Amino acid sequence: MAKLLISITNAKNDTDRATVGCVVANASVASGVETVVFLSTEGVRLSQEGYADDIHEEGFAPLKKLLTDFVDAGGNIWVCSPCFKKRGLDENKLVPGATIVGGAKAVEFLSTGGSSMTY
Amino acid sequence: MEKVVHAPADIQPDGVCDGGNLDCGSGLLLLIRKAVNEVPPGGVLEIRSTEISVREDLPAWCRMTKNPYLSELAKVFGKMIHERLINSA
Repeated sequence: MAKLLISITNAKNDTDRATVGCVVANASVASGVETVVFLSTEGVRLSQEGYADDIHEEGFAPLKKLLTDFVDAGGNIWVCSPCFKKRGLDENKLVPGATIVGGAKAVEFLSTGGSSMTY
Repeated sequence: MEKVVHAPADIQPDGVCDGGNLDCGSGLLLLIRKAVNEVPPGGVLEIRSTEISVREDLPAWCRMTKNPYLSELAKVFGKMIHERLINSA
């Protein structure tokens, strides 16, 4: 099975990139590809319940819906631990499907045949 | 998410590595690599950590380095998580 890691490094600082990353992730998981959204640097803010509720880029579905649909379709969300801690975010407020990970999970995924795209 | 596995509680570790609050990319894996090399082949190393991402990262690292991941211990002391792996070297 093909594997794709979509790295999202932006949140409200660049809602365009954050949204398009989620759109590609949806296309990937809907195509039967094992798909991970990897949230790092500013992107980790998208892991917090409620944060993305008002992100709605013109011409796209709301970001919250995109992420919810992604998880419902079997996609996984990995959240970079040091980026998360640096920003003082709350591990009890993770959106469904999100897991806090460190570098080893991403390294394993990519070194065993995974490809990646970054937004 | 990684499955939680539990080994028999009476397994005795041959070495202990205290990772504190380090995550895998911030020095923990280097500590573990050093510690696992000091455990005899087939021996058991216990990893102690308060870092939440270790639950996901340690099994992944074990698969990559061919050191079988034995268990997450049922025992949790405060927030300290004890995990064990086998040195396959």
